Amino acid sequence: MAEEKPAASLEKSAKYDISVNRAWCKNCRICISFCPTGVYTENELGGPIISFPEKCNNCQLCVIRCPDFAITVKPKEESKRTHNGP
Amino acid sequence: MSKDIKEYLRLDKFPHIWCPGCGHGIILQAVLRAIDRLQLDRDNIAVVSGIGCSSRAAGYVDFNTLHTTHGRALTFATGIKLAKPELTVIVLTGDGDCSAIGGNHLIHAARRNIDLNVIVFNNSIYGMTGGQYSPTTPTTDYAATAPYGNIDNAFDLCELTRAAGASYVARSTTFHAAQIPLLVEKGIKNKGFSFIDIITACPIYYGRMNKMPDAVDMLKTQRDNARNIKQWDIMTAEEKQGKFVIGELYNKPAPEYTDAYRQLREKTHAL
Ligand SMILES: Cc1ncc(C[n+]2csc(CCOP(=O)(O)OP(=O)(O)O)c2C)c(N)n1
Ligand code: SF4
Ligand code: SF4
Ligand code: SF4
Repeated sequence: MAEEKPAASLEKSAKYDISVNRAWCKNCRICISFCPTGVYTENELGGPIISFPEKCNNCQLCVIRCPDFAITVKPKEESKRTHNGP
Repeated sequence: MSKDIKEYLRLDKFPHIWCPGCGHGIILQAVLRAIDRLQLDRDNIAVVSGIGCSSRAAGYVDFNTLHTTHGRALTFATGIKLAKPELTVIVLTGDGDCSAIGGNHLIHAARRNIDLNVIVFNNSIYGMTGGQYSPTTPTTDYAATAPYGNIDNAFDLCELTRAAGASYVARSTTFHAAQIPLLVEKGIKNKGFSFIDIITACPIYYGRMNKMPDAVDMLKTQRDNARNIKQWDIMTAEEKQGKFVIGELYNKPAPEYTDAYRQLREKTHAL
């Protein structure tokens, strides 16, 4: 799968949509090491697993420090609105 | 509402060529955020680079771009700015590109205070050619050409360009990625030579040769050694050992070169 997404069971309690573009990620571990709330754990390659999406506070640090433009974090309401209309 | 930053990329060129953990992508994203904050018309932007891993950045962005020859980004940029002063000209360059082979162009572009915005991807090494030391490699550090340790003194590029005549000088690091767009934005707004030195990581050559092969460790080193300008000003010489200053270091408007050139043209035409 090209997009790393949190497991469906975890996604419900999260306020933000986090996704990682697997095709661009180079497994540098920067996102995992510097997320202030510990959202990510490491997969066998060193890339991120979105293990605790409910902890995300949308600080955007993982997005701006990812050297590979691979992460997006968006408020859920916003993505819901764009999908379902007002 | 700002755009998705990926709209500024040439997506067909991705994933990019830079190594895992290379900081160049962090700088590129930050520069795009600065451009987005300023809401500049992308047809009025020219991005110019030389040769090096860092200089590949120009190929990834959807503006007018010019990927030139090693060390000469500033000469091409000077030509563009003189021919079309209405363009915002952004130079993306490496420490080798702008301060070794291109060092002379750097001091003279700064001396003229020409309205160029120079962003240096400063990884203290020649990444592209296999890790030779550059003018910003710290003394005693290792490089492919300094297997027993570097005996050269390093340039402080901010001090250098400030002394040469730049009207805006700033420094940050890839760890402080959130700060970079603010500094670049102010640099672009400054009408004159704006020099922004970004300390970044080449884990593959500089890192491996200096016992820091991990990008995460390199970012931690940036975090631990960088000091904000306000703090820096009250630190003793002893406390400054091994540390470096970040933030807006100099900002003093001065007469700009293309303006002076236009005025000269008007004067001579009136004769
Ligand atoms: C005239 C000329 N001399 C030497 C080279 C070889 N060369 C290519 S890139 C480079 C150095 C790049 O270092 P830097 O600008 O710091 O960029 P980095 O790769 O570290 O990002 C050199 C010496 C060249 N391409 N052209
Ligand atoms: S920072 Fe980006 S490239 Fe590095 S591991 Fe995380 S998602 Fe992958
Ligand atoms: S946005 Fe901040 S809190 Fe959320 S995953 Fe990224 S670094 Fe962690
Ligand atoms: S060699 Fe160094 S500077 Fe070049 S892409 Fe790799 S990590 Fe980056």
